[in-house]
Amino acid sequence: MTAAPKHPGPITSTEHPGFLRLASRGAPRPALARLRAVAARASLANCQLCAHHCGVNRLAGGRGRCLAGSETRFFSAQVEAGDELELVPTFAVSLSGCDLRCDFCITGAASWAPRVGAVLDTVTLAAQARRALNSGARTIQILGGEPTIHLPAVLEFVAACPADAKLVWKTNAHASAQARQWLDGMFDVWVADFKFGNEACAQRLGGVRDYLSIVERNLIWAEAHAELIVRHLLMPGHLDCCWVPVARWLAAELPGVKVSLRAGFWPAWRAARHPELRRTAPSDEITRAFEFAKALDLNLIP
Amino acid sequence: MSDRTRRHIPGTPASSPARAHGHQLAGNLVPAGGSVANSEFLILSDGTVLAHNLTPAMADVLRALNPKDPIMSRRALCRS
Repeated sequence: MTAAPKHPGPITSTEHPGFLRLASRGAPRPALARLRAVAARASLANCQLCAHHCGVNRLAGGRGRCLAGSETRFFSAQVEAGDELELVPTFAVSLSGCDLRCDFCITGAASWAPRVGAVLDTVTLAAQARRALNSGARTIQILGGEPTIHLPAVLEFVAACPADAKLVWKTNAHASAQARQWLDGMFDVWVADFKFGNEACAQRLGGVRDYLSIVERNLIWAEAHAELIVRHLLMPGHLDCCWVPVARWLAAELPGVKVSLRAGFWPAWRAARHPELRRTAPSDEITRAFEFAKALDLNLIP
Repeated sequence: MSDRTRRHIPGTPASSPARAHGHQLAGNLVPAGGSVANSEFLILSDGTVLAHNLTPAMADVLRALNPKDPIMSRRALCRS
C-alpha cells in the first residue's frame, strides 16, 4: 500500500479557477490581491497555509503549530540595507509568528510569538511603504517570523501597495500548495531559506518533519513563478551535514539560481541548547563553504 | 528571521574565535510601528562585527569604520 503524501501535490489549473481567469485577463496585482485576501481569510476556518496542515479554525480561536490566530502583528517595519545588494534599500516588514521552531532564530522572541508587536494596519503600513519608496527604497519586503501564516493580511497589504512596487517575499519555504496558489504573481522576488540539508538537523534544530521534500518543492515552484534567491545561513558545525547537501541539490536541480550564502551566524535565542551552535561560524568553515560553492559553480550573490 | 551580515573591522584579526565573546547590544524587540529604526550588532573579540537588521545609517557607520569594505560601501550608498 502506498502511503498518502503528507503535503499536497502540485497546483493544478482547476484550483481557484476564478483567480486564474482574472490573472489571465491581466488584472492588476492589487485587484488580484484584494480578491485573494477574501478567500485566504475565509480559509483560516480550516488553516492549511503552511505545510503542517493543522486544519484548525483560527477564526474561532483555534491555534495550530504557529499559535497564530486571525490577527496579524508585526514587530519591525523599517528601511534596511543588510539584505542582498540587488534588493536594498528595502522597506522590510517583519510579521510576528512562525510555523517553524528554529532554536537559533535571531528573532526568536517575536518569531515564536504571534501576539508580540503591534496590530498590522495594512493601509497605514502601505502608506509608510510608499513613503519609503518615494525616498529611495527599491523594494518592499515582507518577512517574519514567517509571513505565510499571515497570508490574508499579507494579501491585504499587497492590495494597498503601489501596483508597480517591487515586492519581495522572504520565506522559510515551508508553505502549502494552497498558499502558493494565492502567492502566485503577488511578489516579484522570493528570498527563500534552505536551512537544513537533512531531516535529522531539521527535526532537531527546527522542529520540522519532512523538511527537504517540502522546501525543495517550494523552491522549484518559486523558481518557475518569480525571481528566486535561495538563502542558506551557514551554521557552525553544519557545513558537511547541511550546506554541502543543500549546495549539491541547488547545483543539480536549480542550476544558475541565485544563492545567498550568509556567514553571519550568531548564537541567539535558544541556540545554546545545541553545543555546536554556541559560537559564530568559524572562519575555516566559512572559507570551505564558499570554496565548495565555487567548485559547484553556484551563482553566489552578495 | 531576517538577514545576518558579517563584517570585519580593519586592524584586527580576520579570523573568528572558537567561541563568541561578543555582546549583543540590542537584543530586544524593535518598537513596532515606531519611528525609531533599530539595528543589532554582535562585536566579537577579534574585531569582527555581525549585523542584523542593518539600516542604511548604520551601514554608513560601518563603512566609516572600514572604508575598504566594498560591500559595506555599496550598502551605505543605498541610503534612502
